[in-house]
Amino acid sequence: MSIIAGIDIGNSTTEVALAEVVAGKISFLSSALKETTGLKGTVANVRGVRLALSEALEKAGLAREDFRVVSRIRLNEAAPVIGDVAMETVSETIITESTMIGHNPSTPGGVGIGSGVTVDFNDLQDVAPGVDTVVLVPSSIDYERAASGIRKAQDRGISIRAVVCQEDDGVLVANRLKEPIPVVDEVRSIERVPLGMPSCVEVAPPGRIVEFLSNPYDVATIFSLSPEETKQIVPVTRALVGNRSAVIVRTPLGEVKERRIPAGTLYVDGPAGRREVGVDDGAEAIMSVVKNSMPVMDIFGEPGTNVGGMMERVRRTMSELTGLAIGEVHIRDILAVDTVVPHKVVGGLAGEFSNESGVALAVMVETERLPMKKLAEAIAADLGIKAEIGGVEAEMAVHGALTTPGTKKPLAILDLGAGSTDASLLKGDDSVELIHEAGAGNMVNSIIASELGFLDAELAENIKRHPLCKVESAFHIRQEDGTVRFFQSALPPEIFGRVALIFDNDQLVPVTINAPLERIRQVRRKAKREVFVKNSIRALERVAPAGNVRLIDYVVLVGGSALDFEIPGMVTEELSRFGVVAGRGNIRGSQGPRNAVATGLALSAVEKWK
Amino acid sequence: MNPWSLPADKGVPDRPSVFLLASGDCSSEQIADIGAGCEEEGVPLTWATQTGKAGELAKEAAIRSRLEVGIGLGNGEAVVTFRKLDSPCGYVRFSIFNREDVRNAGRTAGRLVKREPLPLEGRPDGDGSKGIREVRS
Repeated sequence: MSIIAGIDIGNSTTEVALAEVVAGKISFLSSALKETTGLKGTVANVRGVRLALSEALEKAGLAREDFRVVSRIRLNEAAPVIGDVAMETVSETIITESTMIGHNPSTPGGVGIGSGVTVDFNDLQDVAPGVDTVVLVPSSIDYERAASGIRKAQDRGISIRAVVCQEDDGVLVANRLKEPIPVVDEVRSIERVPLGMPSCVEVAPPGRIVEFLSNPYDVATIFSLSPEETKQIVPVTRALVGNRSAVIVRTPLGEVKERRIPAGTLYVDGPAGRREVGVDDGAEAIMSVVKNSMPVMDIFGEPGTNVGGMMERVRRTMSELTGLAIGEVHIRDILAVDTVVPHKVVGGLAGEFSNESGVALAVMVETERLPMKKLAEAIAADLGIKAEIGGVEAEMAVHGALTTPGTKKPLAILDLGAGSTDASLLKGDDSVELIHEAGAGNMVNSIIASELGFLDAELAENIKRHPLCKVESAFHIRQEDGTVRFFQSALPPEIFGRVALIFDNDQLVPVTINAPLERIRQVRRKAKREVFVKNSIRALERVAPAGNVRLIDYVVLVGGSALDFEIPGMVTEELSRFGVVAGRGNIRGSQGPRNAVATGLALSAVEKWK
Repeated sequence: MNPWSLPADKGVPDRPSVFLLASGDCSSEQIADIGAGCEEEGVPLTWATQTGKAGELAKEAAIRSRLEVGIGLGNGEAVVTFRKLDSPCGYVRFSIFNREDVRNAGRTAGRLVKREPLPLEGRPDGDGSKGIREVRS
């Protein structure tokens, strides 16, 4: 009898499968999962291995630190690939400098549209009667004073068409005026609004969005713009779409700057030579060129363009991560997804963004083989157990996946990870075909963050992993599927009325971005579908006999992203159209989609002894 | 007289509004500021004066409010609560340091009625705007 430990050191977790071998027969004792210590493939991993193995021994009813009972450790040879994600606008970038306020205060006052010259409240007495005026009210003036000052000015014959307040008192000011005029409030940096300039303020009725200031031709009408100037105002008007209130201040001609950066062309080097594709042709065109260039040898971007800069950045990041010289970094795969990229509008006074159509690119770079041998020696020295390299990760994973009840050869696995999506096909004759693809969980995060317009990586990860709800009262929430749930004790005021994420144990975490539940859900699901469903089909086409997915009977999903609450369902649904049995793996009938590689490593030991 | 903020004895009986009970040490300016907070949210306020602690006043005010949301004001505190909540500390409690805090109490009551996120920025455990913060349910 001997005890074997299959140990899979991954990017984020170290997994152990502990098995007993008696007369060539293997039976599993326990499994364990711990965080990987240090960068994968380095000696720093030893500590994590020690912890994970201790846990597995304990679970098997053995002494925690009694490593001598283990006769050998089998390690995986990690896939020498690494992935990265980048985003860029593909549309030509036009940057204009005209001042606008397009934020969404929760309670603007009044309603309608009003245009006039901007005047500070304190200078109202100097305005000549008859001049159309937009009054700027700083926070030092309270709403009673503001309203009475405006009423007095109106009595003097000054035509006040709109008001912009720094404080949150738009409704209070509007309620105290004789006639309804639009009042935009909560403009924090009101001192940056240029004075004495033509401007226009619009407040839409409740439940509506601005109609005039989001339409370039209406803006052209208000400010008598030339066709050229109208073109330049487009990013401003586009940034205002969807707001309930908006302000545009026209700055003098000399202050308008314009810069155009072309989207650029991607060069894909394949066996048939170099192919080109314009990034503004969109994700579909890019992916079709990549498909026709398989196996891809390298990918470049046109210098001096958006995509050129982006590919350069990717290469530099990869070179830093892998220690390869920039010239040695070869991009072997790319996944393009159409998306929107928020662009800060120059001249916006409340940090406004305009959504430019863009493309998200995930790339995959092949690295040198990791120094696993050195690591095996370090583990052997530390634990006093013989340690050996068991085999290639994907091969081990597919053998491990085969322990899922209800599967048989030929079997394909899709390893849905964070950095890459890997596929391997175990054929009837035990030979294994395997590929690595760019684009996985990290890309989903990038798309979610970009489309919803925030930078917080942790928030993106949380939105990806948890279903949403709306806290509708202190005692009930409406979940994203429409069902309502009651709580016996009052929910905290911090989440009242908010969109929240439902964590484990019904812990509710508020989502602080300003977007309705439906939009967040739609962005989340689209990102997952575009990355995982598309990549799954693409990967299976590459490993399937004759590129025909229908010829694969069983597909098992493994890896961290296979634990997601909706990704396996999406992939299963799509693959069922090809007549393929696909689903989340259940390694050894008990481990779910985890532990496939570690299990495969332990199993392969027995196969060798036969 | 501002129709958005009426004393209980002069107001329309039973009009749907947030109810404020202010203890004797409160100024008319503070009552007006609570009214301004509610008005900004588009919700009317009815008020009366009564002696008591802010928490108890809020509870009683919530019972007298047709919208079931009440505010208690006194002893440097503003407490906002609703009828269904059985807690002596109310739902949200503001320590009053300046006029803005008083107005925030009014806004909070208005938003409770409208079921919108509450303006808690000024409070030490307020929501802020950076990322997300864990809250136990």
